[in-house]
Amino acid sequence: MGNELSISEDEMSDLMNSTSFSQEEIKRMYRKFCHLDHDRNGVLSVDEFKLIPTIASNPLLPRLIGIFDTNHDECVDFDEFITGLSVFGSDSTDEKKLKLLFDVYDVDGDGFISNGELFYVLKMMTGANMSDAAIQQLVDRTILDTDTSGDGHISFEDFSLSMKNRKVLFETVVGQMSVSNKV
Amino acid sequence: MTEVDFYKPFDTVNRPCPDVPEPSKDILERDVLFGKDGTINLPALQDHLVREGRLAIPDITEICNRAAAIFRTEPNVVEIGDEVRVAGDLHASYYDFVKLLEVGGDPATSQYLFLGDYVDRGFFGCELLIHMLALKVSYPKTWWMLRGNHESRQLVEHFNFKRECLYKYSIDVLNAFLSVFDTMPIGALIGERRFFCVHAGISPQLKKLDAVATVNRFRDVPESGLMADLLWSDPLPADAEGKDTIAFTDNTARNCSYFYGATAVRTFLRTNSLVALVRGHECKDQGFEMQFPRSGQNPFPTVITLFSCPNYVDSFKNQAALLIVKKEKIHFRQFTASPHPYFLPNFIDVFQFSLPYVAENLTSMLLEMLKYCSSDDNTASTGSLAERRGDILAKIQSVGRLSRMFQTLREENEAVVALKGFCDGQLQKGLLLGGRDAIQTALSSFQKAMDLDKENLKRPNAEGKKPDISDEHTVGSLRRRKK
Repeated sequence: MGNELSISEDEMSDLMNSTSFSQEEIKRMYRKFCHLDHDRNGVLSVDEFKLIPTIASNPLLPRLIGIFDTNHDECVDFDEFITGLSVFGSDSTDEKKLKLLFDVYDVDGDGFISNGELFYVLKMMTGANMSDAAIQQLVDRTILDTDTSGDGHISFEDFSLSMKNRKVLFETVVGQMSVSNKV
Repeated sequence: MTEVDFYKPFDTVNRPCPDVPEPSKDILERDVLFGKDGTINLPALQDHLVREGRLAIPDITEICNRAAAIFRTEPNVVEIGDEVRVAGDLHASYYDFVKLLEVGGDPATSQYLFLGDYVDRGFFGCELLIHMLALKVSYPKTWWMLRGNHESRQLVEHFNFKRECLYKYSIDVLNAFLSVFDTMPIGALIGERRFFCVHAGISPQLKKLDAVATVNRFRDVPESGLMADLLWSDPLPADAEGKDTIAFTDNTARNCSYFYGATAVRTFLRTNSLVALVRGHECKDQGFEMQFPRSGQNPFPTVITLFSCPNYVDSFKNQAALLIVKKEKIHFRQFTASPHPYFLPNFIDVFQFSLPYVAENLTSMLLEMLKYCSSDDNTASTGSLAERRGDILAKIQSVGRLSRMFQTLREENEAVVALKGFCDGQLQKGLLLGGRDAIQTALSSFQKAMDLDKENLKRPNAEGKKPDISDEHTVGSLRRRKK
């Protein structure tokens, strides 16, 4: 066991309970986490993520950090790190994956995808390839079509219902996010 | 709107572009739409449709039924007065149709004739048809609509009108529209047998005009025969070999029906004492084209093609034209495209468009992140090499495969957006591989847009049939409105 590992037994059993990972896997991921944590302050900052050259310029990096950063303090601690990764693990559920995808769009974490959020997340992806007016029209229509309660934003229930009504999209995006080779 | 740093908190709630009008949430009230005597409130209807507003389905079927009842009383070839505005293909471009009415004048006082192809390709076929059929109900003797080749079950399924109806309304609304199509007349005569108007052209089976009257038009557009030719044929292209001698030859551009040459047109016009054939069916850069002029003292064209959908499929940059017939005189009024609300191909929403991209990028970033920190991870590792290989990276290997699949999905999305207008037909794969520049170059001229769109002119055959539209039908039905 590496001497730099500093996860208490309580933390370890909590993490094993809340994720699908074994003790050995959690230790390994902790080493990876420490490797990314250049200033050794126990959390990954935006700048530390940006030090990974292959993802630094990815337009969705802000949202990757966003879905890990569940307490919205603009950095990712180990607990958040491993919880986020576990959504991609073999014991994850469709519901968890859907929630993760919902959180990509729910930027402020208030439980709703609002007009501005859907707009800016789409804009992150399209850059200059789509006009702001076109994005606004698509966003307005998507909210109108998805929001069942008529309150102008999309709840997680609205989002799930919309996904489950579209089997092809749902199965492609969520169904196949399972990792089956726990060999 | 100012630039946003996506790493910092921003206004998540409000609409970032308050100047862009919001689509209407409301269904047009029945007592606003219909007066007590059953008349249709056309200004209210237009105002509502322009804001992307919807109607109650029973009100749409009522308008369809009333229009169909009128069409049913009309002969196969309607005879109309010698003062009329004639328009060619409209192809679901509702906002350009609103402009057309401005150019042509109030339908309450001006007579109009439309040559078919109201639906497919554009995104506002429902709005266009509802408004046009409401005008038919309101002005049955001065508002004339012929059937085009797109007013058929085969084409609305192959192109995007079926999908539009399912997105905005339901299969019942599509069926109501299809029933109306089956009643539309197929030809028109302007004035004292001066102009014969039809969607596409003449047929080897058409000697005397009376032959059209004997066709049973109350059915879907047939595969072949006189009715099919009237809705599918084309004049021989200007560069065709033997265009002055050939009467009819196989129409290779359409995969069905015929090309007709100048001699065939002259014979037909002479036999029936007509001046010219007026038809739509082909996109023209100027919105109209005059072909096969008479020789000698009277060089009046024998074929006039009209196209009234400007910047066709948002790509051709063509003008639209309206033919103004005033007794013996004709002239053309051209107009350019009007802005319209933006739709993604096949009416997909933001989630359907972006989720494949989101999933691809999240998973590939996760992979890269874990790869990055395993690059010098060997020292502290315990266990055998095999165990080390079986670490978390291996565990999410299928994420890598997934990532490649998402990439394909996402690239397809991007391709259809770049070539949006052509998405509902066949995409030219080679061009897409050429990337953005190749696409931009390809779209830079009218002729190139024509080349790119060639496959979409053809009548789809059984092998080329697209798979069923799957389960996206339900998407539109989720829309709820507050009364």
